[in-house]
Amino acid sequence: MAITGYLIHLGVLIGVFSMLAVSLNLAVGFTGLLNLGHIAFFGIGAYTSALLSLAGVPVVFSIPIAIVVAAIAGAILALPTVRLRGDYLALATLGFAFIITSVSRNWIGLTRGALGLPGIPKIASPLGMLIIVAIIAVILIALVKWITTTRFGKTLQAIRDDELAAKTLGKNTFVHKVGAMTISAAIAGVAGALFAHYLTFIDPNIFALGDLILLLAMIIVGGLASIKGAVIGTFIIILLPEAFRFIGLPPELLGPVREMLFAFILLIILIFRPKGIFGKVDV
Amino acid sequence: MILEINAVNKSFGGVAAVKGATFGVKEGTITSIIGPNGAGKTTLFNTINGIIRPDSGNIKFSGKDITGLKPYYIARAGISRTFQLAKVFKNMTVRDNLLLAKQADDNELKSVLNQVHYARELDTKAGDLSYGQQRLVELARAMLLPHKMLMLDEPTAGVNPLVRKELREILTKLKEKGTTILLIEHDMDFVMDISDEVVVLTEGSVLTKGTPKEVKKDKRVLEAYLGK
Repeated sequence: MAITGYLIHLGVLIGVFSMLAVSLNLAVGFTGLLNLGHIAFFGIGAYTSALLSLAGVPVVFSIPIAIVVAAIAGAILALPTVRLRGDYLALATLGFAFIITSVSRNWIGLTRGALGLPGIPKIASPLGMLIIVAIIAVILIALVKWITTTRFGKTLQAIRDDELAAKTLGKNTFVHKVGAMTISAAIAGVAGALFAHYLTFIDPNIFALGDLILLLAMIIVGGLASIKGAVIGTFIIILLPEAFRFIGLPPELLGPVREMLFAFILLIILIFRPKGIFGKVDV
Repeated sequence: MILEINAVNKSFGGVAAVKGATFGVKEGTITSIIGPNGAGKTTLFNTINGIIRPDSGNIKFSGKDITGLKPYYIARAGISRTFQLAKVFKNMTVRDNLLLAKQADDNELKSVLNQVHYARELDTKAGDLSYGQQRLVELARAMLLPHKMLMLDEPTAGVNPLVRKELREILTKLKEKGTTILLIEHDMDFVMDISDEVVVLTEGSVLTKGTPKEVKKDKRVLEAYLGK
């Protein structure tokens, strides 16, 4: 029974993180927006749905509202920042993630700060949750895949490759970039809301910088601008370290070994397959 | 005049790149801008496209003031262009590159690619092509974008002599179909052969303009290129 619970937990993690990785890939891999604040949208989705449902709002409403709030946060971040290029955009979005984390820690009247929010209503049993997360993940991943084949999606890729050329073809690149960030943030909001109702407890650690690095590792290992790559990258980054639980390492070594493993995987990928496992794109 | 450029100025940190440039382009003609390096030709091109906002002066296209408008808006108003260094979407296929200019079926895409003598497949990734082929894809893309005027920044640079000869035919044919063409070009034989009007730009200002014959006779043009 314990092992089943553990496997279900891994399954939910993979589902949630694959939504996050694929949505991040829409911004970073397909549009060329180096967004380091993605984890903030995840946290905003989680907190919004948690707070609303704790206040008595039914989950069927709290989750959609959480998605809308995350999307609006995405648009708000995008409006002033998407004109920035490369590294500058990365810094601005990272700053955004820090601000949101800080708000969650310090707006104690709303978020209870570091104490976190316990008792978030469950939607289903763990197994039920796994099924829900899996179905929603598949739908959202298919949605992103479809978006990348539309005119809108092709324009995003054109912006990534050469924004000026896209402009001279009559494309309003600003609106496209804001659109990409908004969709990307909304999907992260879905993942966050589902995760909150699965864990039933969240605190400001949900914005952990470590998870942001994991997310980036997932899309880099899998390959930028590849949907399949982002999903495979999620599986690798989540499952590989788990193997170490079973080889009898002392518990105090588990953490450091996990970190070393991530560094090792990233190095190997960057040396031997700089574009990632399924990546075809130079960004 | 389909395009009227009136007293356009643009400085970069105190250095005047374009100084009071004034000229017009007649509809359905080929006009070439020539001038020594650093004369402000590309800057002028970029102000027409809205990539650079002029400090002063105004630009009219089809009778409408387009000064300082955004590039995508100017593109939609009917100005299509290529760049000095070809700008293709390198991670996308040739087909996707072209479809961004216009929704068209493969037959239409192939017919435009044939016109520019592009020799490779539609499914090739643009970044995998040789530079010369990339320039052709960029030209085909600019031709596909619905437009009234086509602006080409040094179309003969980096393409082989055969293509250069064909380019002459391509542009003449486009002109016959009613397209107005404005180009920047360094190949004098090409310019003198193809142009209806030549504008000579030096130090950001129009030195002279006229038919190729008139410009060739103008001593100041030779001085501008070679010094006194």
